[in-house]
Order: sequence, then structure tokens, then C-alpha cells
Amino acid sequence: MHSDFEDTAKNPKYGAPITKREAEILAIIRKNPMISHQELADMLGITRSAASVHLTNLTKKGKIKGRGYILEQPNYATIIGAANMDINGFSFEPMVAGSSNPGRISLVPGGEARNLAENLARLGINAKLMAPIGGDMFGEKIVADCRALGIDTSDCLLLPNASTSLFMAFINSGGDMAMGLSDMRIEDNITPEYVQRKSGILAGSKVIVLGSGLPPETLQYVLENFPQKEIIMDVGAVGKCKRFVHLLDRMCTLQLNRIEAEFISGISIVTAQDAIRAAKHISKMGPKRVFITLGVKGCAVVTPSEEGFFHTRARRPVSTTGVGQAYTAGIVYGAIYDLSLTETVQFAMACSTLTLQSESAVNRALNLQAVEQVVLDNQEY
Amino acid sequence: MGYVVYIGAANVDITGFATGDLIPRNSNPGKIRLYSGGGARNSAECYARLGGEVKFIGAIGDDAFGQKLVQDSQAVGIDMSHCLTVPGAMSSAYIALMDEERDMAVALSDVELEQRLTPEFMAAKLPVLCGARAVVLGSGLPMETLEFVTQNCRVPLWIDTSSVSRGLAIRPILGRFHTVKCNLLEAMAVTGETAQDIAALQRMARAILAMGCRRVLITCGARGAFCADGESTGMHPAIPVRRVQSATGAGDSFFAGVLLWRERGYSIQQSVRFGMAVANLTIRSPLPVNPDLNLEEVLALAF
Repeated sequence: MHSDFEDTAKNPKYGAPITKREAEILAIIRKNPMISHQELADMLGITRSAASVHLTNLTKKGKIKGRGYILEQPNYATIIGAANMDINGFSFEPMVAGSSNPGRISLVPGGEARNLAENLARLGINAKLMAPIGGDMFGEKIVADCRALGIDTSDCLLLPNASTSLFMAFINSGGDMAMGLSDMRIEDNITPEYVQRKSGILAGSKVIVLGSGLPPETLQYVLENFPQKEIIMDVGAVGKCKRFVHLLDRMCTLQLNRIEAEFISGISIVTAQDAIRAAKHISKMGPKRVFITLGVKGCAVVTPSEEGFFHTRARRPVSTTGVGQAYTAGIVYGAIYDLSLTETVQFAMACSTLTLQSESAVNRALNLQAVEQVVLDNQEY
Repeated sequence: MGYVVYIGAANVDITGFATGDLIPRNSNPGKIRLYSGGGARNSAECYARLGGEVKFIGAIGDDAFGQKLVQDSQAVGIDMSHCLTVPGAMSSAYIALMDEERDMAVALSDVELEQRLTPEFMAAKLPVLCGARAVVLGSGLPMETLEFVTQNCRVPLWIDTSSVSRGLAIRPILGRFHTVKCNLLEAMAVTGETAQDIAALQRMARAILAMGCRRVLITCGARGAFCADGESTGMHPAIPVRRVQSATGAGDSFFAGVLLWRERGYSIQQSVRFGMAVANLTIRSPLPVNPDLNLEEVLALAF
């Protein structure tokens, strides 16, 4: 280890929270630990000396362990849920039922848990995906694609004799989904026993995210066995709410859209005040933090110490697919880097804004800089 | 006995079977299955399963779907070595949703890749085509490719019009084919006929033969098939089926049966009868190609 680096443990800054710029630098050097000060400065558009100062501070805070930039064992998020192949058929003309329509077919890796993991990887966060993968061509493609994105798939549940989760969508010439069908029977294999075998991974995570399509006994197992962990429930569809309402009292963080929040609270949500009221109502049922997103309007947040509604700058949405997972990615980011509630919500809203502007469920242009830019735009507004 | 060549569509069929009511604009739960399909490839598969020697020429992507298409087809005995593999392309696919009653609710097909079967590509394959006993052309091939093959290949050419729109598109060159197979609706569209009785079938057959064809086969579902050529003219009744599982693939399998039995040297009456038996066994299976199709069963049913 180089002598420039002090004995970090004696430093008063050790363990202090890092800035957003520092988080950005960590993401860069995690990918390229041998990067020079000058290269780093060029990437960030700052001077070489400024880059050096950041690196020194990161060393003092204990985030960089040594020259050659050996990083602190990074915090990671574990995401348990679905990874599937989305088979999308786009019709050239208005679709005719009962007939074969000419169009274009594309295959894209999807699934709520996988989409969330992709968002996290794009934000530079270590994401461990625990999803069931079948022994077919789709499973192979999903795993290869995840690896290329930097998602850790080493703890996925490989089931050679099962079919990988698939989702088919028929998209009309106008852009809306005419009909969809999903085959996600493989998700039933995410049993408490499998999770138990992976308890070391869960115990070492800073954040755990649970997909609502998991068997209820698995949700219960994780909530009961890791009560000290930051566990975020990612609700994929209102139809799945009844699978976990009986577990609300054990939940830590719950993120809902308007329809899901109405279903659970029984409160009809029109205004920001309604959303706060529903969030408070739901938080009394158990979850410490409740986030209710109202699309482009913003979101309501209730925690034991704070409550409020965060407005966002209205932008015309291109596609709402995947917007929930983008918001969740923001909450996970905040938890990983110990951001304040306000910073977390601003970050999460910026992630969803970027996803709203993308046709696909994950915006391939998502990265820290893009998110920071949207956060700034929203503040100016 | 020589070989026949099929040129046309090969695609992966991705079929979703709903396990409850299908609700529009919603993600419905169900089971999804994958099969190797495509009208021309399915017909070639029937031909091979019944013991015929067949080479298939189609456009295939260099992806997992393409590997499946080649493996599945070779496994049943189709020679796939003359296919065009398009680097970086996704293989053609067909996606369909079946409701609880197993009726098709909606389907979509992506046949972009078939457009890569250009006259230039076919020019290189002329020796293979010219050595065949018969060449079957898919009606979805690019028009200029159909033009090229029908002008440069002197072996008997067979075609299935496959749809009303394709039938109308290829009408100007229909006379260049030795044998044309169409269903009743396609024959009506191609000839402008409006009636469906036996006299109308005779008129339609005469009109298509007048274009220059040697033989015409008009399939009429459960009624049977009308056949006209130099040997005979008349209606051939279908072989009754107690329970139809899926009518998909009936036409392609009938076509393969007639072609195979004709190539074996039997009369057109016997060949059409043989084709009827193949179609009968096909519609008793839920799949477009009956995986249990075999010569013994067809013979027992036909004669």
C-alpha cells in the first residue's frame, strides 16, 4: 500500500457520508481501479487537482482502501424476484382479432427484479440478482445479458428442467398493448428453503428488495428472518397486493402506485393531500416508510419523522413501463449511500422521469450524470 | 427416387395458451410453448416424416431461434444445408395467443427475413433446384425471386397460394406453375368467382388451368378437395374426423401428402386420397405438424 494513505481508522472523517460527486467517482473507479487522476478528471470535466482532492477525501472516509484503488468491500443490494424474456410483437396496422397480423417481433430481457437490477447496475450499484432461470435459450440469454451489464447472477436459481419466465405482448399500431400473456410458473421455485440457503448473501446486503410475485411464504420468511435489514417491497401490480397485505406489519419500506395505495388503504386518491393521508393510513398498518407515486405529479412520502408531497416538473411521458422499478432503484440508491429522505426522493423521481422518457422498461441512457441533471432541473423548477 | 426442394418460410412459433379468460389490454396468466414452424417448413417436415427426401431453403438468423429451427428440422430428416444464414439477424417468429377453448385470439408474424431470399441468392442455388424432382415455392417469397425461379428453373414448380392477399399478388405469374393449390376463398379471389357450388369449382379450376397451369387443387375444408388436371376432374371427399383439435396445418400437410404420393408414381386420385389422410391425421393433433405422423398410419387410413 502506498505511503500517501494515512491510517484511515484514526481519521475523524472515517465512515462519514460521501457526496454525490464522490459516489460518482466510486462508480468510475469500481469499473476501472487503475484509472489515473488525469483520466478521472477528464471524465468528470474537472481539474486534475480537484480529482486528487476527491480521492484523498474518499480515502479519509474509508471508501478507498489503497493505491491501485482497492475499494472497501462494496455495499450491495440483493433483488429477489422475476427475470423474464419479454417477447413483444408490434403490429404494423391496427390489429385484427382472430387473425395473423404482419408486424415486427423483438426479444428483450425483462422482469421486474431484473429490470430493477439493471437500473441499479447503470447507477453503479452492486446488484445481486436472485431470480429463477430455466435451462433454455431464454435463460442463457438473460444471464449473458445481465453479466454484460455488470449484474451479479451467481446466486440465481438455475433450474435446468424448467422454462424461463416469459411474457408476450401484442402491441397495437397506436403503441398500446392489445393483449398480453405471461408464463411465470417458475417463480414458485423461489421457496423459503432456497432463500435460507442464500442467507449469507442476504445477511451481507445493505438493502434487500422483494418482488411481489414471490410465493407469500418466501416473503414472510425474508421479512421475519432479516428484521434488521432495509427491505423494500416492490409491488408490480395491484393484483399482487392481496398476496402480502397480511405481512404489512413486518414491512420496512413499501412503494406503491396510486391504484395499489387505494386498494390497500381504501382511500380514494385524487389530490396530494389524499396521497399523504393514504400513506399515513398504510404506515399505521406497519411499514416504517411508505412511498406513493402519482405518475408525473410527484409522490407522497411518510416516515416516522417526516411526511410530505414532492412535486416534479411535468414532462410528457413516452411510456410508463418500468417507471415503478426506476423509482425503486432511486430508493435503493439512497439507502446504499445513506442519503437523506429528500435527497432519496429527488433521486428516485429523477430516475422515474428518465424512464418515462424511454420507450423501453429500462432507459439505456440512465446513469448518475443524467439523474443529477434531472434533479437539478427539478430544483430550478 | 430423387429429392424435392421447398423454398419459403421457416419461423419459430411462440404460442401462449391462456389458463383463464383472456382480458384485453392486460397481462393474462398462461403457458407459453415454442415450436419450429413456418408454412413451407411445416409442409417439408410432413414430407420428410413420411419418408420423402427433401431439401429446405429458407432464411435463418444466427441466433438461438435459428439453431432450434435447423436442429428440429434436421432431426426429422430435412436437409437444411442450403439455408441462408443472415449474420446478426433475428430468425423469423410468429406469436399467437390461444384462448381457453384453444381458438386463436390474436397472432402476429414477423417475416422480414424471408425478403433476404433474393434472386441473387437463388441464382447460386439453381444447380440444387434443377436437380430436384419438383420445387415448391412459398407464396411469401419476394416477387422478384418468384419471377426469377419460375423463369430459370425447368423442373415442375408447385405453389400454395396460402392467403387471399398473396394469391392476388402472385396471380400474374400463376400460369408458370405446374401445380397450384389454393383453398376455396383464395380460388374465388384469384378467379373472381362468387359461388361455391360444384359448377363454380369447375369454372374456377378451368380458369386457373387456362392461365397455363397443369394441375389445380382447391381445398374446401370438410367438403374435400376439387382436383383438375389432364388425368381427371372432380371432387374428392375428405376423410371424416370425429374431433378436430386444430385445423392449423391442414393445408400444408395435404400439400405434402399429394406431392409425395405423386412423386412415388401413383395416380392423382390416389395421391389426393393420400393427402386427405395426412391432413386428417394433422387436424387430430393440436400442433401444425403431427409429431406422430408416419407412413403406416396414413396408408391404413387412406386405402
